[in-house]
Amino acid sequence: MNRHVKTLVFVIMLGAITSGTLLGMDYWTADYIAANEEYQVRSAVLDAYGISYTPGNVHDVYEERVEEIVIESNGVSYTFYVDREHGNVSFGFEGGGVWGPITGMLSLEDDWVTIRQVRVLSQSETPGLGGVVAERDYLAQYVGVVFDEENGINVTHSPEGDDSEVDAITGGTRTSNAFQTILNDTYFDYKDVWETYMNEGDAS
Amino acid sequence: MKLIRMKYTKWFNISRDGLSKNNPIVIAVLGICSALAITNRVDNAIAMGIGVTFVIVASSSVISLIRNFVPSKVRMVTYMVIISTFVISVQMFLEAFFPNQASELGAYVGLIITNCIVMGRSEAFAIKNPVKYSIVDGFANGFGYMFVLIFIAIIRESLAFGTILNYRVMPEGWTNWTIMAIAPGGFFVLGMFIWIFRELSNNFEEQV
Repeated sequence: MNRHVKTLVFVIMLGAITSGTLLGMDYWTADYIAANEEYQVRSAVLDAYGISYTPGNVHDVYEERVEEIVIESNGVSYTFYVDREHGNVSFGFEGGGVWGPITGMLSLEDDWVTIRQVRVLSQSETPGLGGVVAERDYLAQYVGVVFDEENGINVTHSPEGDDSEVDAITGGTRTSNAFQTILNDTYFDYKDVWETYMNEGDAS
Repeated sequence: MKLIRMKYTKWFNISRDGLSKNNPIVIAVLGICSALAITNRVDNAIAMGIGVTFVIVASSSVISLIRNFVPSKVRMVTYMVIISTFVISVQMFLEAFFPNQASELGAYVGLIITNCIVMGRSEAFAIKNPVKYSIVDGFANGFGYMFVLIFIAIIRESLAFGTILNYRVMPEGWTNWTIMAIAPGGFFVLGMFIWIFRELSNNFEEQV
């Protein structure tokens, strides 16, 4: 009996100390992590619009040049980051990769079909293979690609010169397929919400 | 003379065990999953090696410190909880203060929890030995793991991408060996490395 009590006390103490350690770490780092995430999003948007900034003035420049429009649709919040000067637009994407979620920012020209920039903010794909999806050199080829009205973009190993095609990752076919699905699903979702919002605006 | 005397110190023997005689990868064949997953790039191998070394040293020293209070029935759970706490803390610290490195290492930091070497050193060494020797053992096994990773990564990255640490080492026109970037390539190189290492160190399985 005494042994069981001792074990129980040990487990409770271990749980309390380790939970306390993690809570302390969370309390210490949460604000820094949130600030880093906000910086990542804002710098991705400013980069997409070709607006120069420094780490010190990123928030001021962002507030001045970018308008955030939040639209509620079917109980979901859609956030659009609109370039006040040129009408370019960005929004976040998130979806399942091969090993975990892939999140990032998709930026479009004001024509709503031409990609200005794709930036991956987090992913857990295989290093050196699917992980290439986050590399800027790989993502550079998405710039200028056009979303097809029906099929979106096509990430393929054998492009035929169509302006909606992008080279797939060598050795990362499943990640390429997942990335294509994430971008297309997000694009059509946000486009529908934006068009509805604009039509309602025109009607009123 | 000093060198000969050092050979008989416990410090020396623990270090030699971790680095070569009982190297976690080539002799004990532990931590193979992560070794195959991340050795297609040298920078990944270095990052993973440093992360694993830190977690082994930290968890082994804590487990060694509380070894007289850990009930034997819950010792495995205790190891897991302590190791996970360290890994999650490292992840939070990196995300807060080194966000660029955190995004580079994101997938690997989580993988450290599943590394058998960390749990193995807790069970085989830290639970029975004082803190100072557990720290030496942690460093020896961490470095033993890291040097094998780096060696394999140098071969795989140069053949798979023609680079080492992203510097071009293969001639222009080199055709990349895609298989070296994926797990089967890792199996080939690791198998060859284990064979050569055991041959050179005369380490063979005992005949039953």
